[in-house]
Amino acid sequence: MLITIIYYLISAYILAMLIWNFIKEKKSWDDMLLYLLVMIPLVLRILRIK
Amino acid sequence: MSSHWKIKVILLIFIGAISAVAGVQLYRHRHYMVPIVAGPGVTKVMKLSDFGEGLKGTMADTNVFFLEGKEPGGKVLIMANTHANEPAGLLAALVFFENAVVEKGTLIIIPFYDNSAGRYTRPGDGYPLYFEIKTEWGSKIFRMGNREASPLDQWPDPDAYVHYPDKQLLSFLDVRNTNRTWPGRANGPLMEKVCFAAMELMRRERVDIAVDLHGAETMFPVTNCIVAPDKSMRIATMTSLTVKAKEGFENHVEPSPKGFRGLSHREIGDYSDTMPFLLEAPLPFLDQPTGPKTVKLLLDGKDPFLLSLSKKKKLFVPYDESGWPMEKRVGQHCSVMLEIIRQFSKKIPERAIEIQNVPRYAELVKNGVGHYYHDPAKAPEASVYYD
Repeated sequence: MLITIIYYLISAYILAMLIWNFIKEKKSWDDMLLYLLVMIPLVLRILRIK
Repeated sequence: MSSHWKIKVILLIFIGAISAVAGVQLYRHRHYMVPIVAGPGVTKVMKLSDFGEGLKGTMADTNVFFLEGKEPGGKVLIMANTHANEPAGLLAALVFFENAVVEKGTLIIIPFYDNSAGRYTRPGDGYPLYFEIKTEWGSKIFRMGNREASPLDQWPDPDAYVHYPDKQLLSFLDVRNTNRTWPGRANGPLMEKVCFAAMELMRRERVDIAVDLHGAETMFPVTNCIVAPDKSMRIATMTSLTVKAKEGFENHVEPSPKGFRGLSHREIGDYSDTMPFLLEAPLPFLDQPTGPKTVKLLLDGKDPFLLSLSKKKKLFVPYDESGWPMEKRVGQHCSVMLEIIRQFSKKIPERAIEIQNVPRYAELVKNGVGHYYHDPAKAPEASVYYD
């Protein structure tokens, strides 16, 4: 149970980092797209969908 | 708005839309409840958590249906959807659930044994989310599940699964596979708790026979067969010979290997007085070298690549243009189960089990599986269960 909670916290932390990088990115639109794509599984897991 | 923010908003809308469409479908699949109609034989309904506290309130809890006869006798347990991507077992268990009338002894059915796996799928492998069985009153929709339980319900996976209690090293995925986590333990990972509860059910109810229903690839040698340990071997052999002679289909016997732990046909026999049998029906959908994993392939088992491999003698079952239709697989499961029960009753008459009103192979092939399912909309409300 504790490991599961830590896993969700890590997922939330990585998601926050990706959002931060997405906001900071100003030039490369393909990097922006990659940040968003990498976010998908983290969002689905945190929302307990997949 | 600066130009980079315009690009960001467009990308966010695009990715958000894709995620929302996929997410809604996956969420609905996980929470879709299949209506099933209890037949005249159902006398009692319990939950698997009544036999294992650890399952209470989890997605792994599931219904356990009792069909008790007027006369005392032996007890048989049918478990289906141990692997929820092998649906012929589920359909066969529901044919029993909706039709069987027990005259002597008790029939116990767990149609959705790995309930978590039935709510999880493999979109990356192109699995369909649902499949439909045609009936006389419309279509009955089932969830297509997966081999393993959902990581949403049991997490994290270890690097290697150390089987309890034999300490054999198994694949990391097998920690979520309810046919590798037998006999289970009360305080283990969730799937071990599922198996522990089923073992408790068998021990407390003094179950004589346990049948675990599966499907296997046509390219896998352990297919179209009954897997049995030594204690069940005589009944399995008699069953195999009888269905071949009387009903005209092959269903050979495979011995349960002593050195391969965690499987129902091994651990149930070793850790209880119950005689286990595992039935494998051919399932072309699971084979690797097929065309797209469509509902059609799941239901009719027809595939041009398997046909070509069959001509080169690479398959372990007979295979021609007619494929391996679902009604044939469900029919085999039903006939083999009825024959196992008959052989057991002949061998131990004081624990005999008599079941009526369940179709056999020829009837299922002729009428189709849907013919034996009842319309939940027209059934009395108290007899409809959602699983």
